[in-house]
Amino acid sequence: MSSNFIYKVLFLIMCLFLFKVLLLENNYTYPENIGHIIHQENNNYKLTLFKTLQNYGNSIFNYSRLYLLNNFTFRILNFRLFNAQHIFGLYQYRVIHQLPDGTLIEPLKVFNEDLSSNQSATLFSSRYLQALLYSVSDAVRERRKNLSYDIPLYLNKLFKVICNYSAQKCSFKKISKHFIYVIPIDVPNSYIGSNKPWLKHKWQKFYEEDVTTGKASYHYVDFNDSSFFSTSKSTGFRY
Amino acid sequence: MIYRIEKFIFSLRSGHVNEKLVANTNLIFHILSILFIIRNIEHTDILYLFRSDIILAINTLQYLALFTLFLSVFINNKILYILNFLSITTLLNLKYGYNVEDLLFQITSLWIIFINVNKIKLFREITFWDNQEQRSGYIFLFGFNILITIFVSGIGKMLDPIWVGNYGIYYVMSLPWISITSFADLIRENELLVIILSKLAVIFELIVMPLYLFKKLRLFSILLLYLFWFILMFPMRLDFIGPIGIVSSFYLIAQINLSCKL
Repeated sequence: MSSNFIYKVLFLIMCLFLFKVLLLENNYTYPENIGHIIHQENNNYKLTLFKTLQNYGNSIFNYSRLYLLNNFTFRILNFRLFNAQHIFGLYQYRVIHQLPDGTLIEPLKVFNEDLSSNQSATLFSSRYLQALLYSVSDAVRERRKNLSYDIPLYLNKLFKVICNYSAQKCSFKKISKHFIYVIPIDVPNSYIGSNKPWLKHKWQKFYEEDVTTGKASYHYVDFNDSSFFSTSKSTGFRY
Repeated sequence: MIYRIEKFIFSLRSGHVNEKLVANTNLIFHILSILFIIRNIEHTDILYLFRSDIILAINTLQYLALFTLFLSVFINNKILYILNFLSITTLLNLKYGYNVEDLLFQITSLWIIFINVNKIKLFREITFWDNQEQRSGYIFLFGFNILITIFVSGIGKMLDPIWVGNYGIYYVMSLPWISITSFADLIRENELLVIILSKLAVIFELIVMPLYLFKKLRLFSILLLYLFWFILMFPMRLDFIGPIGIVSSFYLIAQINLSCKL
């Protein structure tokens, strides 16, 4: 194979993936029952641009295995950076442990009490723990909407793993309970200057796990947040 | 028609490769990758919580990646580059979720192979490049790969309610966990600034890839890309995206003949 041929083929494959993303994957899927977003209502007509084309094209691509090649190499996907799904309907979390004498400790600080990120991290640290807020938010949102909603197994497992991960950072051997506290990132739904509506909320207990029995339970959380619910579900972290 | 397309594709290559810069960037990238894999190992419980059945294989891959990356700091060897890429891409595709820094590490480790290895022998000999002009083509493609991602993000913003309304920056700066508070407050209290910055952000994402296609504007496009990485590093503090983005983009500079530009 000549070098020019490889270069040409690589370029064309990348263009193919680019057009696939642009034409077939770009759509507006943010749920309508999220609440009152003024900008969405004003611009709704612009947001349904590619829908018809997509249905046909995607059905062709779904039969191929090209997505595997793409995922493992160029990763040209429908990349979203700071779109609505990164902003609305999200909750931050803190992992708190209870010692047998009732003392509460927080060995793993992902977010601070004022919702800021834990800045002790260096430039070369990952955001894996912070990004888990998207998965935590999925559970909280669904639970707030429907109290009888069963938290899916994968989220149950995730909560256990987060708690255990945090407990490992703790020098105390005996922990009686793990808790996950949550708070809404109450982003304003229209321009209100530099006000910070998220500061009026208090952290609430969402998840509780008894270490000795391993039994987990979920608490009802109720925030008077001005915004809304979102039904958008993440499949892992978001960009 | 096909001839014209071919001619266009080949005309995108700059024909210049700054070998010193490529070699130094290789070194820095491999050191960063070691840090990245160490972070991956630290968070194994969380990142691979749904892969407990193959956790031994994942651990093996992590340490293989660490070992080959460590060797790559000292040795310039094609087998090592290929092993680095295979282990990194497998680890990242198996993990729970996928972040921007994962993307940058994956595609950089892929394109390092094409940029540094001129030929490999599998069943038959495959030549990636014979001369610097052909080699510069792979550097161009690497940049194209990064910028496609940003371009797609720009298109996404055009379809997004908060960005369509020109208030995207306001909402982003309203996320208390992302940006530095004092800086965010400064921007949020000025509505006109919010609108201007939101428009500029979308315009940047939309034009940076098309600009890159023009040889004369490529340096400008890369400089814009640097600005983007720096903003993600400060005031956004999206850790690890900034450093890896800056390092990866050194490769893109390597295709520009700076002595000619200056």
